[in-house]
Amino acid sequence: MDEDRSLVDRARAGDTQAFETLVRRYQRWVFTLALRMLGDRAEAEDMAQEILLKAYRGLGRFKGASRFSTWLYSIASHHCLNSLQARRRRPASSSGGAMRSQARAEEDSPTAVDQLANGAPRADAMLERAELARVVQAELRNLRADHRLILILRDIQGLSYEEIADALRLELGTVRSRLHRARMEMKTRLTPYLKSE
Amino acid sequence: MKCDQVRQAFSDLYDERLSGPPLVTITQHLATCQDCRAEWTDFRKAMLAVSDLGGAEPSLGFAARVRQRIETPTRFQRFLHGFFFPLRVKVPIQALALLLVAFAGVLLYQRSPELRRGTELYSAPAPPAAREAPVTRPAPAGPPVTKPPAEERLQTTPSEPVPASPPRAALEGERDRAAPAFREEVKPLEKPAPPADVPKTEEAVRENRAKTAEPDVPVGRLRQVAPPAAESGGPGAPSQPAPRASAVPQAAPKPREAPASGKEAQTSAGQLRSADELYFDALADSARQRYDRSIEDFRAFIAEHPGDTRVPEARLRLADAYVAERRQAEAVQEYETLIRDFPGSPLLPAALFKLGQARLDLGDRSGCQVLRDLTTRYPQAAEAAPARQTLAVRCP
Repeated sequence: MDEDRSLVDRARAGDTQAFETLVRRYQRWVFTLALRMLGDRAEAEDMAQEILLKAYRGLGRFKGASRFSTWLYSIASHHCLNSLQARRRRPASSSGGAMRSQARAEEDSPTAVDQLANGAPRADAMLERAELARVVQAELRNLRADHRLILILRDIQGLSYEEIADALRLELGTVRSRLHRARMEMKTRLTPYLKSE
Repeated sequence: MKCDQVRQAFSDLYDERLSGPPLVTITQHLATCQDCRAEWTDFRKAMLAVSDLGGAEPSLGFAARVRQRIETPTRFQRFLHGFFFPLRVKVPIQALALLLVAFAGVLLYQRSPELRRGTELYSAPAPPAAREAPVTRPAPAGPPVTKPPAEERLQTTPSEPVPASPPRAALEGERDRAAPAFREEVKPLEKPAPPADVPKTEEAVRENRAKTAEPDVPVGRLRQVAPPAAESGGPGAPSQPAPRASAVPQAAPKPREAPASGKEAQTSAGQLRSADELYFDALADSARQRYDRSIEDFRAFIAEHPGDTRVPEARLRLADAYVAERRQAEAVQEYETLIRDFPGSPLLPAALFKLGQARLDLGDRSGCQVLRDLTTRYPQAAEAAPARQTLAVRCP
């Protein structure tokens, strides 16, 4: 972590190479968050870049009171929430081009999920691991954004309750109750697909 | 423990955040309750499925692309850079451009009288003393208007030639003093602004005339050229012929004091107030009970524009202004001049009525005869009835 601090200091002084090192260190985490929140690789890359640019421009405000990772998680989490809110306000047609829509379709398979949800015949192949991942990702996107975020932070990114509370600036009790609701909702959504396993 | 309570603790149980009695109680409940055990199994499966999603790597070169975006200046940064860099070239150019703009602004200001006047009008108000300065109430026996400071300045060297152009500071001072009065006079009238280079107040007009007079002609010669006010006055000339100033008013034609000939009025018309300006200024002054100014302007109007169709009315109003100033003798002269010069004027009944009253005010009983003539010659006139009443009261 001291290494992070040193890199931050260098980046703050204008050393873009140092910041690139920080990017390499945290790019997987940031990209995963964006991907699980959005469900689309291309959009997730764009958002991850925006998050890291925002962090770079905000380095001056990083006082070092917390760890760089916590500070970055906080920026990333809030950027994701704000971005999703903005998308909800925008018309659906402006959210991406044809290629992007196609990529999303390939990634999320919403049609397949809808078929499953509607009780369409389930091929055994769809319950294979890869297919299950797609279903989980699709159901994840159906959660409320704040529930989705807290679930990702805890069950995919592996943050502790305390880290989540720091990143989202929430009380521990709030984190606990919100995470429980998110998990129960996810369990309800996934149970039909998991029963037949 | 009830099933609901147990299911509420699934999340904590999954994260192994339970210990001690709660953990024991829940474990025992799950061992005995088949439904809760099934729920717990589903819960764990779902959470494991979520966890199995795992992390994902961005595409190759992601970090390099982020760095590239960081190093690529934004449009604003590019604009700033293009605007200021290289400093050694751009800064001198910008400084020069700034100077040129400032110079152009000053030049524009100096060459635009409207701008200057606007600045004067809307700048901080002048002190009250300055507001009152332009014209003072004349003493009854003396000249009607006190000498303005500009005249006094020039009088100190009466034998010297009139300067080609008065000192700029003096002109500015005059203009500054004139500005408030100008504002008061012009605004309520709502008529077109006068020519930009012609100040509105009497001092400013006089100063302007002095400025535009022949620059190299000595005062003595001008005195010979300019006819004395008393000599040039016609039948309607005012009875106080004494010139109000000795140097400048003679050096510059002074139509208000000495009625100039039509030719003189024409030759100097470009520098004088127009007939409309004089007439409406006089009317406005009269309406505001500034009779001294009104008298000045009506006299100037009559002198400079003797052919104007409004001269009869101007003379009647001039006489009325004299009456208001309790200068009945001068008023009588004006009424008489009007009656003599414009015998066919529709203003004649009014002139006769007022003449009669003015004569009576002076103790002249001939006023009664004038009123009788009015009632005889114009029995249907509006003034006939009040004339009869006056006759009944004052001429028993």
